[in-house]
Amino acid sequence: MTVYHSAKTSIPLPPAGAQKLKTVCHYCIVGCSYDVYKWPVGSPDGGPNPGQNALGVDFTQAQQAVAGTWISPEQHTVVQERDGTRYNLVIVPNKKAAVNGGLASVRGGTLAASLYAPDKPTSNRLGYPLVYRGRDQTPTTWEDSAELVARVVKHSIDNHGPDSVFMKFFDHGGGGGGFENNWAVGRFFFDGIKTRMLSIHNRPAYNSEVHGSRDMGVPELNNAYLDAELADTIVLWGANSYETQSNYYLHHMVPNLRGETAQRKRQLFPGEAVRSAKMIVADPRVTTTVATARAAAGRDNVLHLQLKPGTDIALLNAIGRVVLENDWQDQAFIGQRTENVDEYKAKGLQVGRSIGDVLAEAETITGVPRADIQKAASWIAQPKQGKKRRRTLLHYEKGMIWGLKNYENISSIVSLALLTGSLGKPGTGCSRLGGHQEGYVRPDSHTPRPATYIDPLLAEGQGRVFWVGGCNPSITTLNAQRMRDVLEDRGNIVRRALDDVRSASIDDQVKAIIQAVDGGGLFIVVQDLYRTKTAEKAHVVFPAAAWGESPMTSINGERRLRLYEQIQDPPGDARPDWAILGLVAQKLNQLYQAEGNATMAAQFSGFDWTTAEQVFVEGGNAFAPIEGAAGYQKPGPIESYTGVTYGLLRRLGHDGIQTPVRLVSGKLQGTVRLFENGNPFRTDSGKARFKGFAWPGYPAEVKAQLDKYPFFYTNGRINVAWQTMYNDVNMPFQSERVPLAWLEIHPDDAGGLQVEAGDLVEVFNDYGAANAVAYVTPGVRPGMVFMQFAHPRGTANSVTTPYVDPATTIPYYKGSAVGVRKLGSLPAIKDHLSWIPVVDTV
Amino acid sequence: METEEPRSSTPVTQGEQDRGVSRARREGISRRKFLTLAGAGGGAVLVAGAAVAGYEIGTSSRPSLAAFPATTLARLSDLKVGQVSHARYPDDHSPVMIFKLGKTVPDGVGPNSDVVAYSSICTHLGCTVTWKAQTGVISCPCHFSSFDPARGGIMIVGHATTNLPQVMLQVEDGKLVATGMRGLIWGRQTNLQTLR
Repeated sequence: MTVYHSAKTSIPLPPAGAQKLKTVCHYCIVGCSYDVYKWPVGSPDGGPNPGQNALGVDFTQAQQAVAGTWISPEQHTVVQERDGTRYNLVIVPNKKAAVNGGLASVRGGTLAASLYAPDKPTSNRLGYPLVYRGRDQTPTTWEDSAELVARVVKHSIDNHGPDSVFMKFFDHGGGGGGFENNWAVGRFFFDGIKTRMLSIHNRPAYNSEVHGSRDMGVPELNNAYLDAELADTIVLWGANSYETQSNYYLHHMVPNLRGETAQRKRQLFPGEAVRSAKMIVADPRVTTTVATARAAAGRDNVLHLQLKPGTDIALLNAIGRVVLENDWQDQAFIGQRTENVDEYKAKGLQVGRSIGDVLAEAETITGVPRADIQKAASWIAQPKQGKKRRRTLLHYEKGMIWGLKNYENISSIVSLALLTGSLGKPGTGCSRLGGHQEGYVRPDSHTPRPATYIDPLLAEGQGRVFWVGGCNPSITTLNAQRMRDVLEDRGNIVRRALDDVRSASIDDQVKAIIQAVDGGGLFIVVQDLYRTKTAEKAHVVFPAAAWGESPMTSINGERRLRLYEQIQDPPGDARPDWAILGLVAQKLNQLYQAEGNATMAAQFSGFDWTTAEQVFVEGGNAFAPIEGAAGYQKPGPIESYTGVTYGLLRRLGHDGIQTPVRLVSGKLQGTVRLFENGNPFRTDSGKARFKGFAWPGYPAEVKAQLDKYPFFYTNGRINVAWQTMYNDVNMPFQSERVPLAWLEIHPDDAGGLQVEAGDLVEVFNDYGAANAVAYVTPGVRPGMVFMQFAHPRGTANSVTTPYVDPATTIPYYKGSAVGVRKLGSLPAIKDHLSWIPVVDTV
Repeated sequence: METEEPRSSTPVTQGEQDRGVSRARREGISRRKFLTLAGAGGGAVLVAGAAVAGYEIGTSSRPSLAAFPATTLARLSDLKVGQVSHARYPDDHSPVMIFKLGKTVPDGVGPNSDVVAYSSICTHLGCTVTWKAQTGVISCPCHFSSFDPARGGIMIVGHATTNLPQVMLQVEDGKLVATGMRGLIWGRQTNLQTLR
């Protein structure tokens, strides 16, 4: 028994004349640039001499490490287009791209293996619309399925108001999202249906993940990736960037940690002391980020703040207080560019108490010794030689966003950034790192603040239609068992009604559905790539086009906008999400026109897009164009791209253009970094607004579980698996490594349970249970377990609580408590895979 | 177009006979010539074409078991538990590491089934990996991909897109003999590739 290796014994080289396309990986926020080579099967392959292959590489020579070129078996595939022609596809990282400079992560590096092909495991894609009939889901036409959905939706709106239609859709960039699809979703649900019962792929409401930053006038993506190369100190708060923003970390931060960017710093900052960067990582776990940073920078240059989970606000405030105590704050910046510092000083930094008291309290709450708190403050804000300000880049992500108190978590780190002047100049910034890419452009959703918490309403029986697009709430929503109960139980009422309707006209089917939803049922529509666990419960399933099957645009973590070119046909009759919504909208338009309802017909007009670019441009025109050079008359969303066309993006190639895009002397210009050269913060005054909060303690629902169950429970991504593994389950290299969710457990705790690495365990609490495989590691704290989230065979969200931050309606995914029960072992898992702790690998 | 240097004849061992070693290897002729003799047609560009488990990839089939050389990598008695030895296989451009792990492992050979060998070239970007004796991890210093020699070279964590290519081993008369590679060596289109 050995591990997976591709059966390919040889990889073809793209011939010199192969078609060359440019794209961007669709997975994480970094959005690495990739070249795609496409040539027909049956035509000659390339040869090893440079003139014989499209890469122009001399493959007759042994390749040099890093600078050389290799096409991995996972980077080549054969696809079949709709006309039956088969093509070789090779997808390799672009070596000159600003974002990734030739690097590929394990995810982007296996894009080719993820593509639909009729003769590979990825043939598992939805290719036809499905409708529920007779205890099964059966293929039908777009006409039949769209007509059915339109009629049910229309009846629901007409008789029970727009809010009887609930939705949960992606709003991100990259695969399953992008500007085109996002614009269409917004047009359809906000302009068309006008429902306010909205929720987003990863949260049970329609809101920002970062209100706490935006309210302070600080949009959450404000630096350039270049700034990670130029910073004196990089702070990663609640993020495991080696695994979750891999090539931002490896291609921009690690070279700085290694001292390889010192020359560039000297050129850009004459007269400033220059050295390799220090890194601060705030995380309850010892992660691969901590371990690799230590290897790259030297242990003395990495400070791991291993705080107790959920105590971020207390730690951030204590650091800020030490900064103030030492007079290390950027007084000029505070005076000229901020307001409300007194609230921060009073409530956040607790200037009314002695520094000794503040540090003692922080130590107790966070578990971080005061020496480390002081060191952190020094690394962040102590001026350099010659009284020059330190250039500090602060980053945060899901440890904070899904943390104990989303709003105050984020405000606390942004306030620290304001205190230390860490915005608006090279080598600085205070940005979220990002999970998915971004690609948000939509009409106004007219949703309240705080946003409406959708899941409980569905559980209570509200809503008649639930439309889910490009996400899988069975697995990914908080307290996921609750959602599964809704989809099963309320969906069954409709299923039983449809079971009784045989060979019926569409009118009779619609009647049966209406009666069922009037009696507590829920009509479920899903559009997705695969028949996911959520799609299995739908009454209508629309097959969607994936990354590479329609042109798409998005921005990455430094707002770099690029065109992701189409590289193959969608499978079967699958269509892009914008086209699916356009089709149903046109049906609704026809239905309303037929009964002479001009108002409603107008709401569903203008949905007859035929190309992705039409949707892209229409969305772009919704932004108010930003005119002027350095000045911004009307600072708009940071995604603004008015005036950009696919033609321009093709010409700009891999490096695209960074939004917001401005019109300067008739030319479109990007924005490297926000708040530079007096560019104002996004408040009425143009000054960033401090906010100050004390640590609020654990919410009641979580406390109740903590009191009852022995292990603090958190979860998150692991490197090799992307989210719900919708592609990975069809890719042997990935799926072999994670047959079940990993559950990291400390050796002391494992010993107490007689659990060995590789054993199967069950996690459980009042809200549900899930099975996982134990990964015994010193990386987690004793008394704490970390589970891979969103595994399709056992989701971490079965044991997350229904608590949301009342200020923002954002879940505390990162905080729950569980019991752990040993189940035994399966040799195929325990004896086959490696259980060496990932933090022991560096 | 692949070619292979003609191999000098080696004495045919019992082990080779047992394994049905190909006539090409035993008689020391070049693979290209062998294919011509076998009627596969000369002059065609050899392309990807392993038809395995119902997946047909590439433009044409080619012999699915190429004629890997049988090469002695070391004497078993020279291998020490907890130390790594180095050799080259299937040619001088491909360094490999040999481990005597001191515990039985899948695919381990030798009297204790504890000898394994892998390519030394990380399948991320081609850096030379190192072995961390204390943790037993094969680790790459460039971007930190890591592999477990006790588990078939599986990637523990990292950004390589394959597990570490594994040398197929046999023991003959106290010698550790390499007979093939599982997985594609970094930098190559096919494992038996003539490189300058």
